[in-house]
Amino acid sequence: MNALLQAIAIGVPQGALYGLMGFGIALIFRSAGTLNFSHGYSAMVSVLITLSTIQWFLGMGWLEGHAALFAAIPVGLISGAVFGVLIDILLMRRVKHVSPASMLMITLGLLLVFEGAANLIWSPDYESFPRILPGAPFVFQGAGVLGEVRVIFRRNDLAVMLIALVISLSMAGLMKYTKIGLAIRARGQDPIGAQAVGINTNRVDSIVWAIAITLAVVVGILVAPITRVHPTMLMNTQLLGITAAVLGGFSSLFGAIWGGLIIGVLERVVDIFPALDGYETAIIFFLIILVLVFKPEGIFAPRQGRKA
Amino acid sequence: MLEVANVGVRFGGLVAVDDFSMTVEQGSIHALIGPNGAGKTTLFNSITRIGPRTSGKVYFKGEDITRLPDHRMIHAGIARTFQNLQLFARMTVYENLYAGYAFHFKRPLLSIFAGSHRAFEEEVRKRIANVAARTGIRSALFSTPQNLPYGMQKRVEIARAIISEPEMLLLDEPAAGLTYHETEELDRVIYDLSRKNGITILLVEHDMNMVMKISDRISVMSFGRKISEGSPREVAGDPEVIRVYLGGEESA
Ligand SMILES: Nc1ncnc2c1ncn2[C@@H]1O[C@H](COP(=O)(O)OP(=O)(O)O)[C@@H](O)[C@H]1O
Ligand SMILES: [Mg+2]
Repeated sequence: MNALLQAIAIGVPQGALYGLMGFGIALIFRSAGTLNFSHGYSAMVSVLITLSTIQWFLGMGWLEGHAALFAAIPVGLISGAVFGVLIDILLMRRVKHVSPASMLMITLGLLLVFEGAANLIWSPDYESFPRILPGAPFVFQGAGVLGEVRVIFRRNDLAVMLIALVISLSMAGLMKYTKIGLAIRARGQDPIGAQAVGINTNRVDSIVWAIAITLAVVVGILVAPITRVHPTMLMNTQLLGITAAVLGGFSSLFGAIWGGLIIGVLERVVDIFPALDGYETAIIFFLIILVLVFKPEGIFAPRQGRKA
Repeated sequence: MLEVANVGVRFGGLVAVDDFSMTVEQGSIHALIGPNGAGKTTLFNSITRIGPRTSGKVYFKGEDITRLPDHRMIHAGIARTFQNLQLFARMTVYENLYAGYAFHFKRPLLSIFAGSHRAFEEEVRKRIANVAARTGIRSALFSTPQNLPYGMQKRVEIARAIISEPEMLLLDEPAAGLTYHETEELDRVIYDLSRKNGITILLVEHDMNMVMKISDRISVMSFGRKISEGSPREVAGDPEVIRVYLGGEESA
């Protein structure tokens, strides 16, 4: 029982990050029309930019400790938005009328470009990255109806959860109540209809790319203290983010968040059983196959016959 | 109102629209007819910039709109519907109409519709009620399009096109796939849009009853070329038209 609570305490924050990653991937998939395999890699470069900015601030002696981190974060986020807009304007806009396959190939190419750039400009080394909320973990201890309980909750995970929650809520608000949210939904559901009602779909696509990559940078900055900073630091998170999006069904953006939470917890629950050690990923992908076969519209999609 | 001047559209070696010219008079219902594959939809797409154009120019109210981006058409006052519906499938009819109006104004993209924009919200609500009544879709406002009969979906698309009060409306086969009764209702809606609201209408339609009944003028297209033009009576009597197009259907 204690092991399960502990699995949840670590799995939920981790899953929230997969969920945010998956949200951005699903957003691009639905509204800009491609599966972005470079998602985590562009964000990784932004994390490197953030790290270099921190080091620069510290080196110049302008800022100290945490102030440098918080001053550098906006730089990292903005670089993510800029990557998103550049990818859209310089690459996707030229091929999106050609075929979805060519967009996909470009995202695969970008993966290599970002990874190569990280190796060349920075280095393949692992570098440490500061936590947003440093300090000793919280320990919840006591005896209750469940017996003796002792659960450890990492302090930084509090920041992770809060940030994930605030972002999810503001994204929900953005999609539902703002003009850009309406435009994004319309563009995703019927691009020709969107143009007919006066939506500049090219601009919507740029905004979608900017939002999605910026979210991935947030995820990168939050996982960096755990993974350390290196060229493939977000490989796993991206893979599980795609998985979260599949689980949630690409048709529902917020399904990806729930999908992420499920995966995060599942990963830790599997860990409880020593016999399954090393099979976490296999089990999660087996789950994905089940979902794709039996409920391809995602486990959270409303039960509703889809018409041709 | 709308002047199509020597427009040509090629797809590789295929000439879909061949040096086509036509003028749609303000306030009229102008029909564009022709056999399947004649190039009518291609011409529509080329006018509204959704599709390509190889040559020629298009003028709206005397202004060259040949290079206007597709999403600016509605802002210029030209709305359209599609042969295959282009509705937002996961939005309710209400939201579809809302989207038809919301982008008509230069408001910041991040503007929140609720709260501070309560006046705007109220205005949209009134407009939606108004167009829904005019197009007969009031009972469908809170359904999603897929759950509606086809004839209703067609009228939803017309409602979405006119909610921003365009001066001109292009309708691509609005009666295709409709029952006899649905077509009769649609006649009425289109006729009223023209006569009561003063919207200039360019209509592609196969239903000859409808075309003959409500059109002021008809252009006939075959293999991308204009082969005849005139009043319904003139066109119906043109032997060339009877040969390529009306031939079989005239007896009906
Ligand atoms: N995107 C396209 N690529 C190639 N050929 C096309 C395309 N769109 C239409 N065509 C061809 O152009 C011709 C005219 O088609 P269309 O405009 O749809 O005719 P209509 O609307 O009069 O039935 C047809 O021969 C059609 O096959
Ligand atoms: Mg057609």
